[in-house]
Amino acid sequence: MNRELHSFLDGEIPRESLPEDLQSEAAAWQALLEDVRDAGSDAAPVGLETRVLQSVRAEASSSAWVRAMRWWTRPRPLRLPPLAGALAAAAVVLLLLGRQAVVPGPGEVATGLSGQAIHVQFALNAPDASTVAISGDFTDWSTVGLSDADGDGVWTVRIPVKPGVHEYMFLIDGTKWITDPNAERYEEDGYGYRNAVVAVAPPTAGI
Amino acid sequence: MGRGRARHVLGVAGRTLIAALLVGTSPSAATAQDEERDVERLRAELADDTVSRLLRIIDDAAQDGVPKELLFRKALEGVSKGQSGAAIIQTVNEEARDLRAAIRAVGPDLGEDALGEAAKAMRRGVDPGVLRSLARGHRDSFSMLLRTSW
Repeated sequence: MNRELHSFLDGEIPRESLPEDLQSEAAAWQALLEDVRDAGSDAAPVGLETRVLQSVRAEASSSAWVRAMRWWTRPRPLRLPPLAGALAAAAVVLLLLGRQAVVPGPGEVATGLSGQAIHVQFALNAPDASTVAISGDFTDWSTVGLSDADGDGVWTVRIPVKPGVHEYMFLIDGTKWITDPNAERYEEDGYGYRNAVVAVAPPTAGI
Repeated sequence: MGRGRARHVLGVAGRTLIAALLVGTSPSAATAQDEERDVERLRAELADDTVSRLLRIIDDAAQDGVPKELLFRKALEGVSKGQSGAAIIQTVNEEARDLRAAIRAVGPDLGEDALGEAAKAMRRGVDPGVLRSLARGHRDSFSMLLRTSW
């Protein structure tokens, strides 16, 4: 900046003493400084400091419950990429569907078992049967139907079963309880039958 | 309703929904729901006084650390197999007695599978002292040991 102009802006010399070529620039600077000066006072509104302090004290002395409620109800901007939002929504939907699937109705298989569930195939040779079902602790003792699509008399079903030891029986034509003749182990059920026992190993890591 | 107000309401509803989901999907909530579902199934098939007696047996056993799920399962097995209320009460009672004995032998902390296996082993005549030492020395493989030994 020109030294004379600087002296004028500092109030050391009057504007009239500036050379002609600096007059218009000096006028512009003077107008700008007046605008800034007129823009308003920097002082805070009356009582603002008191109100702020009261608010801070009230916040600090409020109960945990009030602070918690304030936290839950205070609006906050949420910045989320659309992809993350879609994934979160999908996770919630899967969670809800999973919980519903854990409750099997009669004749349904519990499909909402943990991710560790193994699909186990059960089979029974019953050429004279019209229907065959299986019932076990893995179905909460509800019955699940087997099928014999090719009509060879061997009825099969694949059921998700959690790792562990499980007991089950077959039900033929809706009335006759049959113990699986091919089981490796049996247990008395306390009701006069023998349950077949199946041990399901957890899935091997890496497979 | 202004935009800001609508956003506020949606924000509160969203946070409340997430909290409800977290509570509703916790393991304890799932267990309570399972139990409720089991009771409903028993009530649908058995007389009220039979269900009341079963629930009393199950609650008493739970006080001693017996997992309720094992006893509900035994009761539902009886229902599925068309057993009478009296037969179901008797069998669930015996199951509760055996599970209590298993807890006395191996403690309550081994899990449902291990307790069930211990109770079955004792029914087959395995000495409680043997089970106790197995549980102490082979805590992680206890169920598998019982499954393959007896």
